Amino acid sequence: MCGAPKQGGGLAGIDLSTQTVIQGQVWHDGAPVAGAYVRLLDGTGEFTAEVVTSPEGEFRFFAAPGEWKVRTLAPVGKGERVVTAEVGLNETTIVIDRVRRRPPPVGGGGRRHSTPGGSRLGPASAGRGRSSG
Amino acid sequence: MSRTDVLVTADWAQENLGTPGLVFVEVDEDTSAYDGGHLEGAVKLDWKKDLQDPLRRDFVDKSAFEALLSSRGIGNDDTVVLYGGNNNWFAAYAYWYFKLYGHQDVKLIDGGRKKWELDGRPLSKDAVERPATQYTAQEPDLSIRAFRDEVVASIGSKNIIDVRSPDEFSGKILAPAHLPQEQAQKGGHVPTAQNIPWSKAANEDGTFKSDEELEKLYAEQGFDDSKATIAYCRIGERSSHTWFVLRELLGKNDVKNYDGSWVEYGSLVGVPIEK
Repeated sequence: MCGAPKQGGGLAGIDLSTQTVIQGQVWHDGAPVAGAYVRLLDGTGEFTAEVVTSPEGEFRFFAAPGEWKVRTLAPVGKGERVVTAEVGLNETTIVIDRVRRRPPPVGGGGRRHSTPGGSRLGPASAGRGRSSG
Repeated sequence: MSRTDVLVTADWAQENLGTPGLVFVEVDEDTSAYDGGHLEGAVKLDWKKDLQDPLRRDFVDKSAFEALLSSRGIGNDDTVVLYGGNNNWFAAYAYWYFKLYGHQDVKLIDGGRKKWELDGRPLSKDAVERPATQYTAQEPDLSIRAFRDEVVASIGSKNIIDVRSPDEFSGKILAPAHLPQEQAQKGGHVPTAQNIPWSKAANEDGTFKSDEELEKLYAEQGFDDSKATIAYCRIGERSSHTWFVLRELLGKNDVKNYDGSWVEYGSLVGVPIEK
């Protein structure tokens, strides 16, 4: 019944002749951002879905043809991108610009590209797109 | 009942981790988030495995709910503090579910897991074990749960709130866009339903908007305070979020969650649909 799709991974089993897939990665400071929240907004700016990026910073949505906005929110900052999607695969990258932040505490480790909980998932598993909605 | 009775801040939660009499419970559909790090001492509930009947589409029954809570070490007198991912969708569902089975003191952590993570608050991977209890549930309180016949009978008379995204309401897509769009049910919505997406009630970090903002939102969308209300979505968890807002935060009377929601309604033979 309701799959809880993992973020990232192959497209096997997804019918790209009917599905409108919007997928990509979130980047910051030259590296992918794991554990970033990525939401898909419709043409009016209304929330449609939200996922959490995989350890490789990947996200994936199943939408419909048209104009969408992909917005990310992470401890390192925010970014967004407008995507005009068609049936099939639509790929995009969202870059979170550098923002001035307080330096990490001495000896504390910056944890720039991880979630606050550290690497919660092993390299074999992907991020969380967990819900049936 | 006021906001502070049913909603706690992440700060409050962090200060009260480990307080006797409080049980923190993370609720998700995919518990990989919990397994990779959770609030210190929190137990987990799996939305699908723990809270849904394994065979039929329904809740677990009273005795199964009692066995579940007993095994998790939750007592009747405990204050249950719920949180989860997906902007607290499944935690709100569990809140409604705990209320349905008559648990007295239940609270949600405002912003759930998302705000906790964005704030960089600590998560633990330690296994959590609590001594088993003898939990006793009440008979289900059906004054907060709507079934399909009541929804059909309420067309044109009650507030029917469709809390899905506008594109689901219009039938352009059939599920939230993180799921493949292949579904059996028809697209569209219950005739006379108002589309007030759950997301309008939340800030971007997953916290609820203020009472004033929420009152204004529903008033502007034509919510009629003199009528009873049924909220629905696709499978009943986003509508639990709105049920929480309307009944627990704003104190509206006679608010029900239709957990059958669009997956049921959109598959019924012969019922009216608007698109």
